[in-house]
Amino acid sequence: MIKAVNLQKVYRSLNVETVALDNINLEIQAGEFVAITGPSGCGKSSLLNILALLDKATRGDLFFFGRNTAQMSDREKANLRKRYLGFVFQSFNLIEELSIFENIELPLAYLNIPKNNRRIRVHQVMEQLQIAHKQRAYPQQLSGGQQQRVAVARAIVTNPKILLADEPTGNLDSAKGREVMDIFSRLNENGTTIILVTHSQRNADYAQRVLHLYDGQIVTENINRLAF
Amino acid sequence: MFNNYFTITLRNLLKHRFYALISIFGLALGLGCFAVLFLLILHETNYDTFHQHSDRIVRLTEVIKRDGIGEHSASVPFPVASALEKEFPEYIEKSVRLFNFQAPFILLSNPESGKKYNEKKLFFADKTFLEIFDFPLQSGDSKTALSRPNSVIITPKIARKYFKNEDVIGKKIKLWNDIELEVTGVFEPLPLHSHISFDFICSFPTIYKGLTRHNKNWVWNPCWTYFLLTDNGANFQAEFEQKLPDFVKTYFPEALRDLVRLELQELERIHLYSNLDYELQANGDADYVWIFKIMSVFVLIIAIINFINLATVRSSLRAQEIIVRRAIGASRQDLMAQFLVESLLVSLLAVLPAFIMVELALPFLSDLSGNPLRKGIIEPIEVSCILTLTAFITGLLSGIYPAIHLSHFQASTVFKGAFPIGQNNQFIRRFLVVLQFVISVFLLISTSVINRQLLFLQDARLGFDKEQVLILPVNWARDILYNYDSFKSDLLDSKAITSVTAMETILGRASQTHEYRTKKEKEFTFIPSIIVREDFIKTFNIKLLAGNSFTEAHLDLTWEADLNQSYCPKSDPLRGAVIVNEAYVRFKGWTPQEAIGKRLGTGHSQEKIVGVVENFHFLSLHHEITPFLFNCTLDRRKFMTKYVVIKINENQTTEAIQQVRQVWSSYTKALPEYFFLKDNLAELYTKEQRLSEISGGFALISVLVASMGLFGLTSFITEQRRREVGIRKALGACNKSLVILLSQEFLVLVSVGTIAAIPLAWWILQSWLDSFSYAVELNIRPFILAGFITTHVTILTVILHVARMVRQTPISEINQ
Repeated sequence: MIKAVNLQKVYRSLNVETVALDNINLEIQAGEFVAITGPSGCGKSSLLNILALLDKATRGDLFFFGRNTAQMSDREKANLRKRYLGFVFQSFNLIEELSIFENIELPLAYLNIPKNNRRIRVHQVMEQLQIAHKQRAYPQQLSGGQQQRVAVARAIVTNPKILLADEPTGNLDSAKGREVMDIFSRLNENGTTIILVTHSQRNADYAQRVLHLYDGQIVTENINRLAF
Repeated sequence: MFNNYFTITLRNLLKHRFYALISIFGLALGLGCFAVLFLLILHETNYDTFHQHSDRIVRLTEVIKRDGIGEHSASVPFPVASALEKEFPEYIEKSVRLFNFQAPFILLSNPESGKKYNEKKLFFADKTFLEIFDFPLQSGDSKTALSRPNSVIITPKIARKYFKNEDVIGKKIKLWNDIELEVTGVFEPLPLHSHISFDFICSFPTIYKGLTRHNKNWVWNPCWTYFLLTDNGANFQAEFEQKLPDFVKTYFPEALRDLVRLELQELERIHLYSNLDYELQANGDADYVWIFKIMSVFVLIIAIINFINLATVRSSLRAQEIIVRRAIGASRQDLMAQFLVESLLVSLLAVLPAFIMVELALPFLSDLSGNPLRKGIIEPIEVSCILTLTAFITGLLSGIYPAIHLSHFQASTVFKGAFPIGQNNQFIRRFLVVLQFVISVFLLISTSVINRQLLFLQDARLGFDKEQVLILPVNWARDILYNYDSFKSDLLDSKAITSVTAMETILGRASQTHEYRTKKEKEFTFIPSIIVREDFIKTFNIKLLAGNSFTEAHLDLTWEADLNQSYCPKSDPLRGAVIVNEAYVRFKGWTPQEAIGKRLGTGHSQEKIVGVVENFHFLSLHHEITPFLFNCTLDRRKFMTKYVVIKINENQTTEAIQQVRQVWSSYTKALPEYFFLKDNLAELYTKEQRLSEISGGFALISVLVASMGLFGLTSFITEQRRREVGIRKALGACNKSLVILLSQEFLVLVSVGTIAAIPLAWWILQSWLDSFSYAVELNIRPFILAGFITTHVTILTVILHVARMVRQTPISEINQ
């Protein structure tokens, strides 16, 4: 599904050159739950940005469903993102001016899905995540856990093949964090590929495969049998 | 998707009410001003275009000058129209003359009610008037309405004034208590943008009997004459004009042939491009229309800049939303579309208040000639369209920059949670602020200079007294004209009246030209002059440089007037007495003393210079002083006396007016009419007055709009630096240093704007002042004043924000 070959990411500012990722090779199959862990500054977010088609690698190739993304235009990448990818962020990143319903509906609108179909699909997802009663509320009226549920609902409303999450429980207490991770597990059981960036070992334990990054390189790769 | 854009726009506006209000209200003000000026420009440039054949109608004018002295008259002699029509049928289809005896007003009355009225807007016209011009009738037959003698067509306003209704065909109106006119038509309400403004059009045959002599007079030029050209004439107007000198040589009297030049003026250009002697009304000015065009663009630019700046800062606050949208699949085009739609929606929201503002302002607006503007903004559909289109373009312009800028935000920052806020647009924002202030300062400087020039024109030393001078038009009060001396004597019985004289035209406002013989017996030159009565020099307090005033000359009977004194009885002691101005003496190469006793011949007699006066402004200050003379000769004084001039003691105005009314009613049944010279002369500067009012109003609005924008910007920027302010306070910064810190950027920008505006304003205003014969000197004061105002407005605007911030505790700001 996703294949990275010799990925390198270098940030340059004035005379300083920082290597964020160095010689990364990995392959993620459909239906996998992969966690990427490592200390701060190890390159987790840089890798996630590249895998999410939000950033370009300095060197190396990234294959997405067998197609090399290096030569793709911004528009092609935006199309791939809205068709195949879902995102969950640590700080939820809900749009404050939109209601819960409208936040979840937004990715469907970008896919030009007719309004009635959108409504049905948004209701399905809200039911699934038990937030239907909050559909008219605005993000700032919800608790952190509820906001993250909404963020997850927005991420999965388009039935993405891959869900990318960056510290999704970072702003939540442990109980709420567990709820979110349980949702991810259920989604994965239903066939969604999940790529999770986390500091938390407990969250990483939900993944079938854990990649440890250190100074921009994958130093270990563990298979978590319990997660299967 | 549009729904989503619409929803988020409205919610954003509500969330950022403060910025939204400033943006929308500022743009509405800008659009409103633009619309008002656009209406004014449209009105000014559309004068006389409503006639079906306006492109084929021309007015004939007459230049009578020798050595640069004389007149360029908007009217021509009686016989010219028919002679030209007969001579050039290939060029002229029809002609029409308008005539009003050059009288300030004409006495009319309703024989039924006996009510009398002094009417200023009455013309006698040929029957072709209704064929050449499109002034449709609401009742009456346009083909016959002016055919018969003693016919009159009136406006609906006059119909209501005289008869209380508009169904008045066949009703009678009396002219000079003498001739009975029959109402043969009522005009539809007249268009306001016509240089021919009238209430009554009487048929020309009504006065044929009295004018038989003048029908062959090629000298007196009182007829405003228009031609409807044939297609050939319109296409080959230049060719037609080339034939006019030969026409002059054939038809005009020999003495005038070398002096006279006939010219054609296109009807549609008269209002903006004609400023001749004896115009039907004060016209507009093409240069002023240009000023309005520039001003309208300037005010709009200021409003657009505001809108762009505030849209940019507002959108910078939405970096997070943009990046999230990008991450979840919005393309750059999607985002650009969103921002453009938002910006368009907001700008269109400003259209409604702009419409309301214009509608509210319209009743108070008038054009350069003092005529009211059209009824409303809705009526000329082009104004509504332009206003909406301008708002649309403004929305597009102000949306493009944020759209491009923000759609470039890197979606990859979404995982970092650090969103860029308004950093890259500083240069453009600063440039736009400077541009705003260049325009505002320019408008402020212009207003100040225009005001100074207006005050200079209104209060300039004219060389004669205009204070406490009451003018009494008497041209049709025959009882007064024939008993002038006893009328004068009765007026002087009141101690409130110090002096009385009479004149042919209003001194300072207009003059006539009269023919005077040069050294050759059959050669004339036309010299600007006014025929006056005794005590003229004393009443107006004009300074004599040599010789005597007419009163003193009265006693000087040592010389004899001679030659052809057909008009001048020997018993008239003032026969042949003229007083010339300094410019005339200089023109002749004499000293004032040498001029005394010199002779000038008219067609009828031999005049003698009895006095020389210091130069004075016998016309408005738009004109340079040229050779001029007062003539107190001939029995023509009786015919030429149109105004009695009464000098009143200060603080005794009421008593003087009482005396005037009392004496008037003891001589005549005509209605008294009077006005003060000072008020009348102030009307000469209506154009400048209007320009001053308009530029003043718009300069204030532009500064207000620019300040509103600055207020919004400083609010945004001070909010951005709230944390920095908190840290600085915690470290010991005093309030003064914080005010300086936060306002210095804007002060620098405003200073740059002021400095940049100075050379631009200097150049343009100097060119404007150069267009006057007499103008104020451009000095540094208006520039300092404009800089002072803008700097202080800036400081005040910034302090309002900073004061709020510096009152808070440091920790509350650090925690923000």
